[in-house]
Amino acid sequence: MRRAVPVLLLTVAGLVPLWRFEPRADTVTAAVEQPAAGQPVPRTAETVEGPLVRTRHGDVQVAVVFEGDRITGVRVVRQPDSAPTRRALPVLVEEALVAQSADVDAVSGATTTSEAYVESLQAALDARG
Amino acid sequence: MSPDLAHVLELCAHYERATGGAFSARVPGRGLDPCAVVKGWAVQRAADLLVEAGATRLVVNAGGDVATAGGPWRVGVRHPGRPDRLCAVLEVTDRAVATSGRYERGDHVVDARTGAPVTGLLSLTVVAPTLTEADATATAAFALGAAGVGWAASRPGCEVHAVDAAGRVHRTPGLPVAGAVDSGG
Repeated sequence: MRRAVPVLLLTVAGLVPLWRFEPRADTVTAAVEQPAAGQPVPRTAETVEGPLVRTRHGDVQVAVVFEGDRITGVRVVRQPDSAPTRRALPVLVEEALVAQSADVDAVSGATTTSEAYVESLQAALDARG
Repeated sequence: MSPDLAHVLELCAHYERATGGAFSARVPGRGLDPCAVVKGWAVQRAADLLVEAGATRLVVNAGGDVATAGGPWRVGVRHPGRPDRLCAVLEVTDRAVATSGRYERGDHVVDARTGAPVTGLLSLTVVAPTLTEADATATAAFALGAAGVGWAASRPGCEVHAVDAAGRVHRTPGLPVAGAVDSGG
């Protein structure tokens, strides 16, 4: 029993560094690097990719869009392909609304009235057959 | 009760729980109204019947709720302010696309918790493995208002494209946006 005490103490001491080690949860967001003082501040939109961060669930990498010194968007370049991680990372991309016309097979939209259908793109598609 | 009705009611109960009651098939004063779930479920079933009958590549579009088999299919997302324009083009294979919006029928989606019309979003589109999931998720997320975008994005297998009341687009990075094949205009 006496010999067991120092062995136990040594074991505990050996575990201390493990306890102190915490995965750095801030590594993803810390990937953003501000331009150093003295450097010219870019005026147009510029995308800066952060470093690849390895986590035990997989690799994470984000890209940040700057306009001047303002962050206007964050994009996930790489994220772990596991269902729990996808649920934990509902990172949303924000964009400007565009109005485009394009060649499509179908149009998704909220249920339309017959009046609205007449002027809709789906009507044009249906007419083309 | 038929097995089909039991299934639809179970779907309604599932999404009511998942949204904390913002989505409900039993809004006071309106009786039982499972419309938000039953359309996507029925159209997906129609598509499944076609696949069982041997079709391998098809798209079924029921008033803006789109089920597909095979592909890739190019599915446009209607611009909330302009019926003749798209605000996104998606490319989907064996997936479904459903949109909930308030651009034409007025404020027809209400938050079941308050009875008040939902005004935080103009349109919310969900891409999911089945139209049953896409339609119910889009409607339930729309009922949650602006908070519904993140909620839908966290649903397994769902990709989201939403237009808020200020006209900004919020979408998931995994949204299957098609390559540009612009026909002009």
